[in-house]
Amino acid sequence: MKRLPHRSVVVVGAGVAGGLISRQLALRQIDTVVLERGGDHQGGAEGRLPTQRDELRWDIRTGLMQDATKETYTFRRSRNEAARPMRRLTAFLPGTGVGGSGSHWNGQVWRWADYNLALRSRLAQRYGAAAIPVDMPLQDWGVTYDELEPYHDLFEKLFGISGRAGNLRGVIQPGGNPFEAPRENPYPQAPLETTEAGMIFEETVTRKFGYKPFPSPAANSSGVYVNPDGMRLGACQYCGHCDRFVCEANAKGTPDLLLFPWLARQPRFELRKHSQVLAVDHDSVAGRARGVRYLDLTTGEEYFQPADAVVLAGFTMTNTRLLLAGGIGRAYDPATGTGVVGRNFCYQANSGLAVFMPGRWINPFLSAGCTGTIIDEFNDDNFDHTGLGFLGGGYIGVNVGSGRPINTRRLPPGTPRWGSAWKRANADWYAHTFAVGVQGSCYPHRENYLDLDPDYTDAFGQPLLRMNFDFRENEQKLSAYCTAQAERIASAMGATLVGPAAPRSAPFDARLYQGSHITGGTPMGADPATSVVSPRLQHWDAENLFVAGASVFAQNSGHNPTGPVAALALRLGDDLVRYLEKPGRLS
Amino acid sequence: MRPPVTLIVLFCCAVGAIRLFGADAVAAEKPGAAERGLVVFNQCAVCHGEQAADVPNPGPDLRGIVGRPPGRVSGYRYSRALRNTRSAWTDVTLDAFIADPQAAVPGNTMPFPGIADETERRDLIAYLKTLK
Repeated sequence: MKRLPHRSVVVVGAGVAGGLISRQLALRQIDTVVLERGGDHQGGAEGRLPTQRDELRWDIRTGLMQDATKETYTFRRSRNEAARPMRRLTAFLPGTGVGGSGSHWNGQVWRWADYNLALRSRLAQRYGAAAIPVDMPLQDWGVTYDELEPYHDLFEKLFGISGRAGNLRGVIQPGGNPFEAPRENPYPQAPLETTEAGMIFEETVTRKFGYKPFPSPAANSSGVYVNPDGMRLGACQYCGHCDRFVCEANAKGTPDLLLFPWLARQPRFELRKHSQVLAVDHDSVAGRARGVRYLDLTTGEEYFQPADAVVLAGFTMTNTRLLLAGGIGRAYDPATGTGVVGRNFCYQANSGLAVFMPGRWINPFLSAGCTGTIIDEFNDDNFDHTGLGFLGGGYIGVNVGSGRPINTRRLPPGTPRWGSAWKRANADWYAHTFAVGVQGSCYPHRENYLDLDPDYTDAFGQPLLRMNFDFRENEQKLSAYCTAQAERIASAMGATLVGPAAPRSAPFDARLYQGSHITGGTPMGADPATSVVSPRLQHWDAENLFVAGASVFAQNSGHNPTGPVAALALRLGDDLVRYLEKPGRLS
Repeated sequence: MRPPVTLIVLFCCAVGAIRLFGADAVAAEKPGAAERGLVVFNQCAVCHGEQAADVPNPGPDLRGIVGRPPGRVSGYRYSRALRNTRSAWTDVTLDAFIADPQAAVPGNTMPFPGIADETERRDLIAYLKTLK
């Protein structure tokens, strides 16, 4: 193993979090090296026409994702079962390469309702401490929305977010999300066009129910945009190839377009692609990380990169695995509820139902990643849960994000599964159907956690991470409730056919895509007994080790995670500057 | 999202010109056209802007575009549609291409719907002529 020259900061992962942290460091010309296991997506077949539009290659065969033949996870639903490796990653899709999952995302950028950062306090105050089930280890994050607001604002400007403000400095804005946390500024760009399905939804919920629909906030650029760093976005072409694809029109806010080309021009910044991090080298006596050990995948040579500060900014699962494999912090034990690394692992309880309207022309292929129209009335704690028997909720809306031919097969119940009748039904319904969807929250459960698999290893000899997860009573009840609301709305649209409603239920099926919004494993918090990192994202047992990304979430909301991921990462970038000036415990 | 063709035609009629047809279809440049064209070019700059290697730049270099045959920047991978287009980029052919790229050169792979406003197109072409 070759020891490399010492650097100030080494960042693991060139995704949204790693890119934003590096930007804040680069502004102060701090010596930074980013290690990324994958290569570059720009300029290849994935980013140009006509090959960009290959649904089979990029979507069905997950051409931009983590290669499960090299790295995967094992899965089981309970501690009594034997875990088995996922041979194909289908339930969630970790990206790889510069930009990480942020290169192939749809681009929904939310500011979560402010109470989400102190959810235990909020729920205990509203419903009494006894209302929180004993097996639901909810905890406060130790950070307030007011601290994050300037970073949300900065991220929206850096990524040119399109949307309509719902709460501008405390004043509720017409046409926006009234449940949004107060924002200092409007979105930097106007919202995307509303789809036909969005108009149907908007009219129904407004006129028949009095809800407040709003356009999905989007990292799909509604116009031409230049960000504060001088990086450009083109206007979205509504091509329907966004999520799971690289944007060939440079119209999607991604780290590989907006951050890394800018970083490449900054002095003292270095990106090392094809660098597979194997371990964080840790001095447990001194309580410090010495650096990281990694493999150059192009040569097979192993390196040690020493640094003053180490930042884990990999995919949710990667951050947890590196800490567990390095023995840094105490592993979570579900039997006793003690230990921290691996706890509060959450997914999302997503569901939906189809609506069939032969009289309306839905145009499903003409869409951006986030051409959605949404209501937040039933999300998280935006409504009174007294007597409902569950906590949490989800947004309800219509996201027409693609009409790609292989997967867009929404057919009425009872349609034959093959043959001429099936073909005819496809032709009849393709342009006249859409889904009303629910993005349901997922709160932690004592038995939902991550640990190291005792048997299986990856291509580099590292133990696989074991995912212990199932949808528990809380998610199933909230999904049943929220999906029933979606059904009520769908039934009021004047559709020929609705449904059937399919709430999320146990057992969790690791073969079905259910969203890549998985969170937790290294939760943040003010109490070292229940958190891996401090409210400043500083590891409790190694003061120069920091963790960023959705792995620090204490619970998952009914909103996409990227907004808080980005705001926390930008704040960590600034905190690292302070740390390097005066090392010690950050407060 | 794309303005209907009728709007374009109506606009052309409104300015009293039969500009969709004939060799002298595009009027002479007005003063300040290139400067205004630079603003229009903002829509193009995300792909055709900087030619530095560190910036992802999906579109070909436009320096010297006016007067040269389509699909000829060495090292750039053009669509077959543009490679097989013979007539050189002139005021007329560029105007038609920018107005509706897919109608002008069917099968080209530029992800852009076109610019409906004739004045904007004329200013843009004036700006393109300054790219040497």
